[in-house]
Amino acid sequence: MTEVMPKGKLYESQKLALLYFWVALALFGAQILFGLLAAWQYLDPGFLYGKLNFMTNRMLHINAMIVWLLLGFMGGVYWFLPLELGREVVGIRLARFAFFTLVAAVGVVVLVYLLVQYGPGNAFTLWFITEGREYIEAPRWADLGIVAVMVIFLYNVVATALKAKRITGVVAVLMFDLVALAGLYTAGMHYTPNISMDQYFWWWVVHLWVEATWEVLVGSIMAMALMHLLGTPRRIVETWLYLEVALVFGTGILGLGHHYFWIGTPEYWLGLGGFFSALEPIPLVAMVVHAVYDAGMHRMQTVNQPALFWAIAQAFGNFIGAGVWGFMQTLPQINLYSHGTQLAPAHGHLAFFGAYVTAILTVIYMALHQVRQADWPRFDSKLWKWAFVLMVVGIFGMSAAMTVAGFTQTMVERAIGGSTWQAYIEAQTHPWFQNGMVWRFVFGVFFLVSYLVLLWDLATIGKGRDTQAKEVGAHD
Amino acid sequence: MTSEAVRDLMLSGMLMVSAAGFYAMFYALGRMLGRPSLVAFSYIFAGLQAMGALGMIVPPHLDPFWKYLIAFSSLVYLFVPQGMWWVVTTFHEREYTH
Repeated sequence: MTEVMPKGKLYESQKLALLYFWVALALFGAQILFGLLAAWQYLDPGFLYGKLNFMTNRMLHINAMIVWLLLGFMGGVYWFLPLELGREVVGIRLARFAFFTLVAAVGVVVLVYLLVQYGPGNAFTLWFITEGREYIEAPRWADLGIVAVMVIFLYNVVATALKAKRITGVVAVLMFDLVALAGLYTAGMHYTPNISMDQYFWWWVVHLWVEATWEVLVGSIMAMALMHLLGTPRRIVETWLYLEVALVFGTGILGLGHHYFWIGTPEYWLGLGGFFSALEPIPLVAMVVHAVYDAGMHRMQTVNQPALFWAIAQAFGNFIGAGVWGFMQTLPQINLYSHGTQLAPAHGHLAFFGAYVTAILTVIYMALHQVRQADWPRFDSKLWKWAFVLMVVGIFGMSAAMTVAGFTQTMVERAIGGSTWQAYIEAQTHPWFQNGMVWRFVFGVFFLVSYLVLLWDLATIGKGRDTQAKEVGAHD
Repeated sequence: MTSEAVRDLMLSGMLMVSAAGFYAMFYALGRMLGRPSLVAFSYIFAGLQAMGALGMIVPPHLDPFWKYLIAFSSLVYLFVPQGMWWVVTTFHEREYTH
């Protein structure tokens, strides 16, 4: 470990991190709410038609997720960076400015989505309403803003490391990753009349940005978290991090080829993408062994059990969501039939929850421990276990329901019906699909309840004891 | 490809990777707790993993390239838990002896 966290004191960077966490959690709630509305509209397509259309709810559901996870990651870095480098973050005022600008920009973008929704396909729409790219529909000004915030974020990490004259392995990985994080997002802003080329670069953002740079970013954050949570030696943590980076490069980057199967790219992507995608679950299985070892070594005992449980859930969630649900539909022979069915969101829900949501919740529980009960040996509550179990059941329930529905689409619409309109309607009206949608909504409500329990726990855990941290500012 | 073939490939793939995960989990748990019975139990999942792979390899749905790839993956899964266990324990022991 680099430095013992001073009890009851917070760096300015950590105070900022707390703001990131709370806004992230609020957006998490927005993600669930709009997801539920969209799920209900599968059952009742006329619900809120003309007022809050399905496409708007879906857009807000997905984009809220991207933004809240990003805010959570940034909060995580701002929380751990001063501890890692032993000093306050250099550009803290700039960081604060970037935070409030980002939050204000997100607010404006959401309002535009809610009130305007879409416009004519001209430059004005592109710049001020939406770029129309699925998953990253932000208008271009907001896209440029995100890149600017990422550049400020990168500057803060690099400048702080240089000022501290200390670049640890974790920080070095983080710096390189943030360059990619800022750079790869710009791929989503290029337009070409060739739809295949357009899709090609679009996938860079969705896959290389979200699934590669985020994986490394979350790896860096979890590395710092494990050092503080379990006291895992730096050498071990950093070696695993290097290994993870190697694996992301080894299988993850070319594994994005499974998104190139059916967008008009050359045929070699079938072999290339399929080959690396098929190998992607192997390192995830290996990580399961490591997670069991880590949990066993510490006998599931730590000063912060909620954080430990979420950290373990991260290793298993990543394997199940990305590994099992990914492999099930990643071979081109299967993907030809399953592509774009409800199997894709089943995989997406499990993978994002398993890999990212769990990691952010780990860090938030660690931060709250420091803020509220820094001098207590055990950070605990009765409610966190409920939140944990309900949330895991909720996400698995939703994903299972979507898997059944997606399987029906794959079979009835594609494999049997041959992708005709008639087959599409048959699949949509098939009892398995419709029941799947019902259960998706039911478990969505369940997930909302678990979110409220989680929120209540986060708001109250560690309170009511005379250990509230005094915010005395920086101490370097 | 027939709808039955698509269904069988999907289910076999799911069985293969999920069983590989359970195999890894129970193997590591057995070694961690020093319970050979749990390690033996994990081999059931190793078998299921291999069955899942066979479910993709034996039928004539896939070309040889993909069959070799699945066979290679399946073989790797059989040794991932042992190999990873060795790596993890060796690595941590070295660290703690420093």
